[in-house]
Amino acid sequence: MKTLVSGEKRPGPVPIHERVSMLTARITYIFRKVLRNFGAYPMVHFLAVMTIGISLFIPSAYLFVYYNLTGLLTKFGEEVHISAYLSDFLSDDATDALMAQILDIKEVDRVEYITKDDALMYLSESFGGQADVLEGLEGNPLPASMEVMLKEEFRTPDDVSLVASKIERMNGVEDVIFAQEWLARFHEAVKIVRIGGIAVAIILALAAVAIISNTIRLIVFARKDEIEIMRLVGATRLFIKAPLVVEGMIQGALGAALAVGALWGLYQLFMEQYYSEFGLFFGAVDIVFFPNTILLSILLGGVLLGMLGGLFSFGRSIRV
Amino acid sequence: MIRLHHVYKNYGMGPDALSDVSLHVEEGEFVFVTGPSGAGKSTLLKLLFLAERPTKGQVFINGVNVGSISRRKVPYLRRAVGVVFQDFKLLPSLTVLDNVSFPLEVTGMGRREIVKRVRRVLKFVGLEDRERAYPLELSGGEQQRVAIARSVVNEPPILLADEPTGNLDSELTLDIIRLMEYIHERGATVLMTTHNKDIVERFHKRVLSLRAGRIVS
Repeated sequence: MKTLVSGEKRPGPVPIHERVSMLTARITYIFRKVLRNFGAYPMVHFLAVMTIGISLFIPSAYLFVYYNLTGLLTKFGEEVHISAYLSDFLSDDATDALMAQILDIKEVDRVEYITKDDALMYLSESFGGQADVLEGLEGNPLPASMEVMLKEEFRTPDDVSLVASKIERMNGVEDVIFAQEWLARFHEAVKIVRIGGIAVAIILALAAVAIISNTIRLIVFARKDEIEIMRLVGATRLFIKAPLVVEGMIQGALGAALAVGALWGLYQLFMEQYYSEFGLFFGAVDIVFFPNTILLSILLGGVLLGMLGGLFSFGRSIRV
Repeated sequence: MIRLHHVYKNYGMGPDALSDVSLHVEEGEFVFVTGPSGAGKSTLLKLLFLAERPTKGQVFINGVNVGSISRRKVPYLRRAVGVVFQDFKLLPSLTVLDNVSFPLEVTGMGRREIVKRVRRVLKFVGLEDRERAYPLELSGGEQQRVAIARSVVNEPPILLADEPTGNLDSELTLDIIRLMEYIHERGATVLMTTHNKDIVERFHKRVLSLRAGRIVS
């Protein structure tokens, strides 16, 4: 009779090659067991994947809206610019110098110089068919201007007014305007969307975790007898949990794929059927699907949630 | 091999299941544990296969105080104790081969070696040609033999049996006891609970009698 009754595995250290083969045997066992479990209880796993898929669909859909919304906001943000109206009698050299001076400001991204003639042309274009209204105009009353675009991180009301006041003090600048009120409101909106977005995302993620964890708990509960016998026969907790964790990860991955797939299907449907109708409403904005990086994150998120669900599936429901 | 020292066990409701039990079982003994229902026989066995810890007192298995070992070590100790139950406790979704392989799989043994040993022990209990069957396809006696095979497949020094013949008729009962005797002859320490007086009379072994949680002689 060989097994020792001392709580130790065996006397002395176990040689490396044996440890490796034991580990290999255990890993093979886990995968065989997982495969067998999927085969033995296909319905349970199908339902688990569906549950995970649905519970991941909601945060994914939310993320989709949020992603497109912030994209929209960024695009609108690009409209944030300062118009610096120049005095009429600026020489070319002086104009170049002024532009260089403005570009020097660290918050500035780029500057567009609009000559008096350009300005008049834009104005007549915006009148469309009524351009003859301008024919009675004597000379060109419109000033030349520098349209100053700021870098993304400096598009806050404070930064914009700071830059505006700097430009105002420069030689050759008659007047500086920017959409002050609109900017302030826009900035507030962005802040709310960002903070609200994160808060909602966290809540949805927690909800998904709770649902997934419960699903796996139900699976564990259904296998109570099997687990009891495993413990009786001397399986360690890790040995019992490992297949469940792997199953959770697979279910999480499949569920995530399901959620994303469903979202993609809806996206395609929306784009084909409705976008052409509402295209004008959205202006020149594209509604895009997630880039690969986000897709991968969602997939990994699903795997992680499945893994956590598997790890925490025991709780008090199973006697140790 | 097995020693109980003033052991009390209470499940938290009502009287003690075991009360001031002290006993000593030497290595290689075969002991019947008898007594009426509720006498504490199952509780005694549960303490020995570590399903429960004593409320008071110490339980020693081969010198190891099982009440005080850490939770982490419990699985390793359990591998040294084979257990057979009245209701067999086989996994219905696994074949006979897989059921009996279980105790070896938890030790990280390679598949090929496991299959070899399992086949050997199935032959030992006379079920070598049923390895692909499922438990529900087998008769009660066959299922119990599978359970016994599982309990000895990793050659534990101690074999515990909790009313193993309770669900079987008298002829099968004799077969099972003989099987256990055979295991005993190969060096195992065997403890078997039963309230079947015929078995006790027929097979002359040491008898431990329990009544209301206490040992009576």
